[in-house]
Amino acid sequence: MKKISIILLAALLFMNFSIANAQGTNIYKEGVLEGYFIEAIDNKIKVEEYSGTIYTIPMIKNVVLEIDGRPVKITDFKKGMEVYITLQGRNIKYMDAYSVDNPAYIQPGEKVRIGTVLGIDRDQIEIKLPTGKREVYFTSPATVVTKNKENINLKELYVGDRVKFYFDDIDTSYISRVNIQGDSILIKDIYRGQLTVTDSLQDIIALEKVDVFRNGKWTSLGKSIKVPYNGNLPIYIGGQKIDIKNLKHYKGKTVYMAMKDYFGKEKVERMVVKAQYENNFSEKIREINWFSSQMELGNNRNINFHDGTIVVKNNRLVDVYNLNSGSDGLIIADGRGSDLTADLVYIYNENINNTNIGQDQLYVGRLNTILEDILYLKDFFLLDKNNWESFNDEKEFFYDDDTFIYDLENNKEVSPKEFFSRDYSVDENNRRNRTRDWYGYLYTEGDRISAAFIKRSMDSLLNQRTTIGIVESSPVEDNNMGWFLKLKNSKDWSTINEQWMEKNSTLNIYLREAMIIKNGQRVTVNDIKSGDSLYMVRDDNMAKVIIVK
Amino acid sequence: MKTKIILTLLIICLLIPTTSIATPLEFVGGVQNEHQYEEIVFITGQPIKFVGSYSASEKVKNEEESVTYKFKLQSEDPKVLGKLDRTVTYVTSLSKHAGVGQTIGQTSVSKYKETIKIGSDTYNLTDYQFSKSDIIDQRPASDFYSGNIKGRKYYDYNKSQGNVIIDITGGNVGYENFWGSTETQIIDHIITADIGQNSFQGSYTHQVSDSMTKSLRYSENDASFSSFHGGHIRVTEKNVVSKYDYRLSKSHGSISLSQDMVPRLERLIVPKFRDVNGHWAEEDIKKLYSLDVFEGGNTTFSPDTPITRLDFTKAIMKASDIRTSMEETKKTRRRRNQPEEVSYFKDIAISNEDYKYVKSAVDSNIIAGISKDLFGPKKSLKRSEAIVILVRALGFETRAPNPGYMTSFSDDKDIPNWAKDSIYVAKELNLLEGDKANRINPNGILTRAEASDLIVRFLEFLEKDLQRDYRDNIIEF
Repeated sequence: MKKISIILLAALLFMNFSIANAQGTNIYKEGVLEGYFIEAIDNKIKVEEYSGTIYTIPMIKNVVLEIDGRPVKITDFKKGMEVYITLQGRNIKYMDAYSVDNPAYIQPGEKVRIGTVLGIDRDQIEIKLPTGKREVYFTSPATVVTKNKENINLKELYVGDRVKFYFDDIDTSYISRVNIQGDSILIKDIYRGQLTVTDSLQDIIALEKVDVFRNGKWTSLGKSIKVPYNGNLPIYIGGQKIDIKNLKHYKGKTVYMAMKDYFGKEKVERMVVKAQYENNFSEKIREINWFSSQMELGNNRNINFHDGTIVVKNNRLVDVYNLNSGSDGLIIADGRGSDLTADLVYIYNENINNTNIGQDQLYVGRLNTILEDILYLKDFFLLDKNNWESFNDEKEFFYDDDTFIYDLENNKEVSPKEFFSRDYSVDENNRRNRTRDWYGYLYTEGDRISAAFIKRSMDSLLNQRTTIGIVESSPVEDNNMGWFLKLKNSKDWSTINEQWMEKNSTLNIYLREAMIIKNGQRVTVNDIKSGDSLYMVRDDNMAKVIIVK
Repeated sequence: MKTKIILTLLIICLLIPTTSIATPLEFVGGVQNEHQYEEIVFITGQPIKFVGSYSASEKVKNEEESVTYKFKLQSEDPKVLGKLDRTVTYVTSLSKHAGVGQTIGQTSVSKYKETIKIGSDTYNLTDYQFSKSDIIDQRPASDFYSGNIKGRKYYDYNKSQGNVIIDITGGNVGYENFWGSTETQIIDHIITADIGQNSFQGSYTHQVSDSMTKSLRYSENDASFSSFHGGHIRVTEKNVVSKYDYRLSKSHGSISLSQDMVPRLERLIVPKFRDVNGHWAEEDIKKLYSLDVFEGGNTTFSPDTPITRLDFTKAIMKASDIRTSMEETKKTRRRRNQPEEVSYFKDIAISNEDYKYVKSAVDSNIIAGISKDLFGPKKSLKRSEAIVILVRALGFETRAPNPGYMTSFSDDKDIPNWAKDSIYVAKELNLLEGDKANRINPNGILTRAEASDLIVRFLEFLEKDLQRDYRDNIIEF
């Protein structure tokens, strides 16, 4: 009996060996083995084939081991991994496995692009990368926008802004987050001075006879200065690029400089060396010929421009290709006779909206009907192209608990509930009713009122004009006139000339009645800082509406 | 007793001013140059600028570092009678995780003393709680770190007439390599002043960045009859910039400060090659030769011949100033009976003076042999191999997406699997660009001129790009 058992057991073992051997023969014949990795023992690998057969096979000396297509060590293979093995004779020459669960995945925000905004068209933003390459990306309603680490609306973005885009996917063109460079992007002043020292070891220059362009003319700064310059940007003379190493050969020459604030100190962001004689024009750019690189000014003068022409728009350095015909600006040209080349173009144009992303408007009119969250404005005026345009019509607006309403007669904020319940709009046809509808300046985003400043009677709009300029010093309070500020480099819009006309002096602007708007919301005088660029509607020196750009 | 004296002397010897490392002084947003320090103080509810003198001394003992700051300041505006005296010592204990090349630092305050006098008011620091923890990732060419900070300061106002509490929360990021180092702190301070009629609550944030960079500048020889035309200078610049954004009950706004140190200059050797003038990579080759990154004969560099694996490895190690492990071994006492070192590879002997670079590069996982026991020192290098070496030196190879993606290059299919991550990362870091047809030519043999171009861009990354990312792109945005 015992013998029979031994014989049966031996037969069974022999059968099993034969099957394994038969399969083994197959894999060695095909040269391929697929299954589950079990373990590595010394120089051998133990693998369970899908059929269940277990093999222990040695590896060749230069075995290639990969996981997810990347070279790995044998210790990176884990028990249970599905492996694909190719054999060389009876040895493993290649083994791979797949471990990644989410191919091509990146951490949200891991892909980043940094560049300067070249163009904005609704949800489409074109940027120039540090390599000079241009790329177009898109925003979505979910795109988060921050500036100075505060969440803002994308409509605050300007051409010329430096931005950092974050993406959640390697192949997407949709931006998940935009960081916009803060006030350090702004060109604070335009200087002119004579080079006295160039220090190429530290990118510093010293200048004498320094003038600042203020209120339409060069004004002496009254001192020599030592300033650092941005050594990464090219310097030009008469349209030709100067090697930065050769700047020392231009001592005694006049340079034009676009100045920035760098952590509380002035810095030259761009400069051009004057080649011949200066000609200044404060004119409209009537036409631009991109083929001949020329612009025709309102006074019929033709001025050349080149890649080194400094172009400042919205107080930001922009690409020369961001010049538009119809813009008004200061053109500092260099040359003689009719052969003039623009060293610097400073575009004046400002508008309520920075780009076509913004849908903000300014209205003034009669508060004809006030419902719980709706206001009907009648016989209203809309500020269009810097002019009040009248409409004999009625327009519907919405207001909500975030709408800021201010009663200019009683100098107090009015809650939306009070606005609805009080007599700011009445039935004027009722003869027994002696009260009349009030009037209001409305700052709106589409048909939603962001801020309303209301008063008993309508201002005369004939005296009002639109003015732009730079705050010379932060607002201060005067005992008689209340808060006021000084506005430099100001320009008024001329309806007849359809042009921004430069003022030759600093203006005092009173803020007592002013609706002040910043980032689309009403703010207080404390939010206006020296150096801010303002767009305002004023009656003489009394500001009615100020938009801090 | 003798041991104690030696130990004391050793500690005194290690008392070094912290001028070589770019780390902001203290955690208050101040800036300094060689002889002046300035900061903004908000304890009264109004920003007041203080200026004065400072000192910083560092002690290093085993795995513990301590730094003591001393400030003697006065208000800059003579109309405000302000005086500030502060001494504070921070102690950092380091725990090294050598296996993963990381170190964790725990910092706390050990000693503090501060008195602020403004007009007739006196604020005395009675308690200072502080905790900071940093992770330092040590990669071959650069260390990268980031940390978190929490703290609270309790000031007594006019001998128990009130108190001011400042809560501190924030963090820091930084990097440190041979070509530059930058640390940027962003710290929020919430200030609660219970000082009678003038009680207030407000907040301010300081962003301060201390940065050091080394750049190469060219200086022409003014004399015409000279044996050389001009040469490079290594200029070490250091500056600190700071920005305070404050929202206090009486005022809100922003104040910026900055200070520069006088640059340090080092003249470098002058190349006199006869075969690189007018070559597209002339400037790059001359720069690297001046830095002793590339060696060449006295007159020939041979820019258009292939670079060897050994030359490129050596160049990267020298350019990044990665200390070779053999230099470190020499400095430490060799133990008795220690077995003699054996070369990793059969084709480069331990006696070869360049072996130390190869060994360190292999130890740092920057490069591997062409097989288990061969390095192939004289073999030429493919473009993809060079890119892998650069990205591994930075330690950025793990920043690629999960496998299963394509790079944006038109010859993506030609990129070997092992190089794909590095080429993707190098493109994201702007270390390289495709040619006009957007090809990266991964299997092309790298010439000595192309290698110079790649290495100079790599050094620019260490010097400028990191600074911009760690300072300007944080504070200015």
